[in-house]
Amino acid sequence: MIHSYRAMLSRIHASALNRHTSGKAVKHLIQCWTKKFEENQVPEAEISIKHIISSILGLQNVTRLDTVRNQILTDDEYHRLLVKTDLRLKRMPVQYVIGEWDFCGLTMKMSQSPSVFIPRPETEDLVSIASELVHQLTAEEGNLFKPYCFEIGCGSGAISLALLSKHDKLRCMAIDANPAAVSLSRLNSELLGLADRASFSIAKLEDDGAIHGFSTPDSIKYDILVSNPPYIPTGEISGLEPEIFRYEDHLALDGGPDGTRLIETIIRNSPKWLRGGAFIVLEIDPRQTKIIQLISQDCGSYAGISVRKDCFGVDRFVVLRCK
Amino acid sequence: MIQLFARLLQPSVRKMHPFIYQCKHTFDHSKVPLLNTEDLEEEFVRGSGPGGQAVNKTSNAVILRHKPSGLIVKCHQTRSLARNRELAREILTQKLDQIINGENSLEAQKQRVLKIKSKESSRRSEKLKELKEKWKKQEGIN
Repeated sequence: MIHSYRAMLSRIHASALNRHTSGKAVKHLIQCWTKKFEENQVPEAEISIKHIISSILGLQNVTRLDTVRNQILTDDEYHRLLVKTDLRLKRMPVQYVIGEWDFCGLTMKMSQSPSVFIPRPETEDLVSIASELVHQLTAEEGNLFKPYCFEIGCGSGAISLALLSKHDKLRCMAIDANPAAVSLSRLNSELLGLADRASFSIAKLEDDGAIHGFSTPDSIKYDILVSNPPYIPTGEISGLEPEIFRYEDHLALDGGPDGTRLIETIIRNSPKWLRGGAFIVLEIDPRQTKIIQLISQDCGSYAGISVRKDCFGVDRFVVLRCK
Repeated sequence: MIQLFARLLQPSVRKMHPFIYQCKHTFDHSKVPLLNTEDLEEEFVRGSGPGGQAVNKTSNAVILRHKPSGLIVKCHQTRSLARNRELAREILTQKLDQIINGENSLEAQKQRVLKIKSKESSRRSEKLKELKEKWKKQEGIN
């Protein structure tokens, strides 16, 4: 009886001493979890654990970890780490595990449940193309020009918010069929201080070009339309890596049999939303360039179409100009 | 107001509003070298296949090579590939500036101004200390 009581007291004493520190150092944790992720075939093992630890410690970026490699995590931080590493072991994308990601230099919140599409690095090039076009339109229209951008499929709000941050006079109207995407975009616009020039609505673009749940007055014609519509062929969805297949919104990925269903709908119907001379910038799959050129010629509404590459050298964007 | 403040904290927005950093010292930017795109070569980590929506990678490191000088800059400071590309160019420009312009480089100019400012600031705090002591003596406070 006394023996076990003493044992209990010494356990309480020991845990009181360790209450605030886990005894685990950053560099040790990076080594140990890189190994564990690799053993479990988790891709990008080292960078994954580095992003997770940086996020828990509130660091701006992964390079700062070098300066804190001997820092010992508190108990609380360590437990949060265990929760996050467990999610990463289950192949949850790092962006969902840490709840945020950067796009065009802006930090944006990410949502896993319900899931909202994670912006890709290629799409940063779409923003730079669209930004060039906004400059071009401003040069054509004069300094009092207030460009109005329309985005279809805003996801986390990445494209619209990045464009707004680069152009003071720009306003954006963006829609998404996923209500969680609209909520997340609104949150990000508030956090970035851009909510006064951004509007987000829940609306679905139907195959016939109607947009349900949303209507702009006929007097509003947009100057530029941007979109990263779902463009993966349906048959290829099941072959995607678990990070994407298990956790991301399939509606943001599936573009129908050849992946061009929404791209075609946008190209055929944009003229009624846009003014003469407006631009469209779409992100696509490189295998779709030919068919997209044919669709745009078939419409007869476009003065020109060009294909642009992303920073990886792959055909990734089409730019159309309305007649 | 809060929105404006939040915006001003974002680095990309701060660049657009240089008035935030008002300073009576002006710097000579005329000698800072400009980068020619033909002289640059970029390398990124990228998966195979069509990429884009079909891939979700978090590695966004950039390796920027300046062919004429042989300088190489590696950058993965942020989680945004586009921002890392911008930063790599800024770092490369700074390095070239220091090599070409030496003490006339922007960085050297800024260091000189910082030195003047810190000298001035310590002179002022010394002076203030002095005046405080004087006043205490005057008032008979110990």
